[in-house]
Amino acid sequence: MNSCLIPLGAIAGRQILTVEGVANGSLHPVQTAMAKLGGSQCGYCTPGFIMSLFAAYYDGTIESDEAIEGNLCRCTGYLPIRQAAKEAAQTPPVDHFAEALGHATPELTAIAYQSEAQQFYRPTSLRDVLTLLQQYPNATLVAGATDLGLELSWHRQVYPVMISLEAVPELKTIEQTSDWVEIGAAVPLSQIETQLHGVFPAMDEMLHWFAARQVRNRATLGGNIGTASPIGDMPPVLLALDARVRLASAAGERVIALADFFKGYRVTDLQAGEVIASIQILKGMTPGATRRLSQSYKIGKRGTDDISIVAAAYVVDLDQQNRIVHARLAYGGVAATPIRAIAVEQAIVGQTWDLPTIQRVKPMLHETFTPLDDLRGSADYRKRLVANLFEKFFVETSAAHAEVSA
Amino acid sequence: MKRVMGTSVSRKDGFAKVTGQATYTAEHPLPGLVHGYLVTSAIAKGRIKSISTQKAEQAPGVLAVVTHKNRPKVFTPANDFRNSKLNEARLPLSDDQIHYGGQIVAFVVAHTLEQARDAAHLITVEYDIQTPLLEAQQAIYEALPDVKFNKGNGATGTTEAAITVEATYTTAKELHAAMEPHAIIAHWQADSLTIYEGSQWVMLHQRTYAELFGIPSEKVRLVTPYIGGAFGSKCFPWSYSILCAAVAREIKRPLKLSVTRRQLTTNTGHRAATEQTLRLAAMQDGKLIAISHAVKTYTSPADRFIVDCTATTPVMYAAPNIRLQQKLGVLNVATPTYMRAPSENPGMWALESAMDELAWKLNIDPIDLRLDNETRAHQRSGLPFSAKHFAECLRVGAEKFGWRDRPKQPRSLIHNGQLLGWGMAAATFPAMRGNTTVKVRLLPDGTVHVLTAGNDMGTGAYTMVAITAAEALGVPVEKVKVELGDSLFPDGGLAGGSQMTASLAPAVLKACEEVLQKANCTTANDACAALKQSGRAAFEAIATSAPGEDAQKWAFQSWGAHFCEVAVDEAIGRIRVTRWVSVMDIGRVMNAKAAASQVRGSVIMGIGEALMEECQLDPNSGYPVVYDLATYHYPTHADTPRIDVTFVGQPDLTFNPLGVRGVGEVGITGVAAAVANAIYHATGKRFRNLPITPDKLMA
Ligand SMILES: Cc1cc2nc3c(=O)[nH]c(=O)nc-3n(C[C@H](O)[C@H](O)[C@H](O)COP(=O)(O)OP(=O)(O)OC[C@H]3O[C@@H](n4cnc5c(N)ncnc54)[C@H](O)[C@@H]3O)c2cc1C
Repeated sequence: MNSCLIPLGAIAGRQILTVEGVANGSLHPVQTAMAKLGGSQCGYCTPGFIMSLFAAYYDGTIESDEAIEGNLCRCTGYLPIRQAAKEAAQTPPVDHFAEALGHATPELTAIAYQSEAQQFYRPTSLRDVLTLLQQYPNATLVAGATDLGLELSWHRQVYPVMISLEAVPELKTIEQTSDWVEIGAAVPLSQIETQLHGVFPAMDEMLHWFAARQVRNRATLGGNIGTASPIGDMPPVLLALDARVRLASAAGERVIALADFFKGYRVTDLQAGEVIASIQILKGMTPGATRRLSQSYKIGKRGTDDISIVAAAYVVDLDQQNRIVHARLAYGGVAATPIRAIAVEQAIVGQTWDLPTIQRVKPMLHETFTPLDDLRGSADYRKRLVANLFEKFFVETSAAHAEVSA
Repeated sequence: MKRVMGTSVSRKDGFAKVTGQATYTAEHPLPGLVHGYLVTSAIAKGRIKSISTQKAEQAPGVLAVVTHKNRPKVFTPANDFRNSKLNEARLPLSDDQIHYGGQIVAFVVAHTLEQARDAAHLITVEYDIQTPLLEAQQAIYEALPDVKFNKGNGATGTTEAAITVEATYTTAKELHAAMEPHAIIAHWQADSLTIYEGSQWVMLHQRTYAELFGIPSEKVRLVTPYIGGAFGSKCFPWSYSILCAAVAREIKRPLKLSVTRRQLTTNTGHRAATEQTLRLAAMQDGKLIAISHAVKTYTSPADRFIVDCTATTPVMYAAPNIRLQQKLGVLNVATPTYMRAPSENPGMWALESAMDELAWKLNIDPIDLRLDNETRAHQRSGLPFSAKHFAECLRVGAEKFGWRDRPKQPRSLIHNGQLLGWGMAAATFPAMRGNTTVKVRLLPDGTVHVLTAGNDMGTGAYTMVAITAAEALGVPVEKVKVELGDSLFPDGGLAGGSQMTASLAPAVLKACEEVLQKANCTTANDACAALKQSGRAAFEAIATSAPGEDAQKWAFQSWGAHFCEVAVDEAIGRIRVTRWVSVMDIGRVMNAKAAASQVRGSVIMGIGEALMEECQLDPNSGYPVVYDLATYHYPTHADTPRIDVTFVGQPDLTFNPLGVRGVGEVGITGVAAAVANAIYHATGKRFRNLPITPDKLMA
């Protein structure tokens, strides 16, 4: 995780390991390989790479691209770092770190820090969260702090009362039946990635391109929709899946469609005293459908560690005759909120899922939104993406289907 | 005896860096250290009407608030590159004038960084705002006489049989974006000053501070053992450095200033954007008859910064008629500075793009077009090249890449629904060397100490020095202890212009030889035995190496060729570089691993330049809207292709006794052109404005 994004209160009860602490008498295999293979040049980024590789060394992903996707290097061209990762992987992880990882992580305890100007609470049950919220209706909720952390450090925001959701079991579980999935609002994205892998292809794909691993280890769905950022990556996926949001307060609970949760530019329907408890998603297809196609796309300026220019997620349910019985086209980066192309969805229901249909709606899709010009991309580029990504979705899913039925 | 040089040696500094022990500027612990914070201008042109500092002065922990009204006294240095050199000639806070967005307007010092930062935000400035000149088109230009060059009858010498290409190419404002942000710690003890600061030129830094404060050079010590990347941005003191050192003297405490990522964008230089018009005329058989290269670039009102972007044009291709010219404008933009291949990189972008356009027009393989017009001598100085294996670079590169088998037509390579394109470009960079001195000590146990003020900004100098000494003395590399980056050591010259290796290695070699002479032995082993016998502590020698007469007889230049493949998804504007081959002629390769890594890092920086790097300004405030490494995009691992690096050629012994020319910059030249040329092959579209972003591709 990124140390610069973690509020001090959040580290209570945790062990902190830095580059100085991974050597144990002799160098750690990751350090040895980095030194030997020239993975370090100017050296300034090296501690970060060492820690990323260190973590990946123990979870068995050290040879994957993901191991270093969230670290920048301006000197080496990354190759020696990849080579070092491969080399380190040759030494199996049997040491006291591996042993410690075998033990259950101690549960986070409740904390309440108070200074003259600030209070930081880490309750350990949803009830306590709601009680605190009653007491401090304007308190700031903190989940992974990957968004708030920037407000704190970069924008020097002061939050008089912060309530951390990290130790609330009710918000930290994923429940699943054959029909639905419920994801606690404070579950880190990397946990969703592993635990729900294969359930929603569009979600898998988007999580893969979401920020980078360090951030995903902390970031949550509650935080991603809590900001209501128009360029958040998960809302299009969740909108396409018709996700619902469960909101809890001392007065009770309510469940609303995610589409109704976004009220305007960075404005949500969350009321004072309320917390996002979970996201609910139905698994099944629309009645009458025999086949579901779904995928998501993220277009950024660079490969990883980037915010979207446009994000898109699609769900199309087809019947036996290859007719569209249900369609969801959801986008980020094209309006003040994450948004669906509802008119186009309605226009294609009942149509045959083929290239002529796509070609017919492309001009309509192109004109659906009026995005802004900004540094990431021009309005014109975004409008074309809105239409072209849908065609790309058609081409890719048709090709995949052809292979399956062949 | 030649066992170490040219092999792959692991970095000497690797251990310190992987364990977090390498100490960078901001990490030097000093008792009583206090902290500074800069306040920068929110407008790009005008005058400070009033600046209110009262609240800041009364804020907790604040020790000083400095503005143009109470600026500390410093002398104006000669700024002549010999006795002193500043990155920005205008001294900080010298008056109430604002010349660019992000210019320093105040400096706050407090006990802690947080206190200084909080207080800095309490300062309010009222400005008389004037309309800034931000766009290159608005600038008033003056011609630069030094760049101007005419051979034959300039580019007018075209006949009717000629095929011509004429186009304008632009590069964007780019940031060095080194991983280590600029920082300084200034520590006065009586009238002696110790400066901890990343410096590519330790001794010039030392002399500059001495001039600024009117004290002898010996009274200034500069310490910079590790630099977290610089790429040209840490050559001379910046305005923030001067302020920090001057205020430290007044408050009589060690003072640290770490420039924030955002403030780096306007206070530590950048690569100026350029506009270059290239005109090439050739006969039908591909022989060039005229080259014209006209450049427009800019400086800030606070300095007159110039790099000659036409510098490599008369180096690369022979033509009877050549015309070079450059114009300089002044914009209300922060002061630019040197950045990796400062003149060569932008120049080669234009030249190598135009050569590709010409090759298409003539229907000649771009490799053949380059070979047909190869130079034997520098066309400005007339001096022949000391060594040149450019043709071999092209041949080896083409072979490794499979160049000759490519389907020639644009849009003819399709893979997985994406258009593939292949492109190539040449690379070149002059070989330079300077005066350097090193001290070598041989101890009885066989340990060798090498000391010099030259330094390692990540380039591998620690290792290169050790390799040279190990080779010269016949000892294992592990036995060599290298200490760099301290002005107490002998003058090690400049770590820039790719000359550190070329300058230092001969001095190390010479000092080692002198050590053996002093010992009256032929091997270090014997010398150690002699030491033990005599009870002497060490044999020691100090040696200097300097460029000789040869510079009047030869032109020294490194060469190379890049080949690349891009995959373009036209539906969504995505361009990925998928394959890369670089072949370089850099004279002797001192450390194969480090050298290949230098080229690879250069190629990736070039890919960034080609596809994403750009520091845009807010059209109203003139302040960069790019302010950190999330908004200033440079390639991540996911943007990086496999890069195959090969070296050809031989030691260039006319250049220096080791025949080594240096490798830090040649690798970036031509990269952006190779990418754009490949995109043309993929799509049939010619892009002449960098970076080639998705929206440009789809426009
Ligand atoms: C380097 C970097 C890269 C990033 N890349 C991406 C990216 O690719 N895609 C993307 O979409 N985002 C990205 N982000 C933004 C951020 O990571 C996400 O928005 C993330 O999902 C936020 O989750 P969090 O748990 O960290 O939220 P926090 O920062 O803890 O909270 C964010 C907001 O949501 C509120 N909130 C959190 N949980 C709840 C809850 N349960 N109930 C009510 N309100 C709540 C908080 O009060 C706060 O206002 C990136 C951030 C960084 C620093």
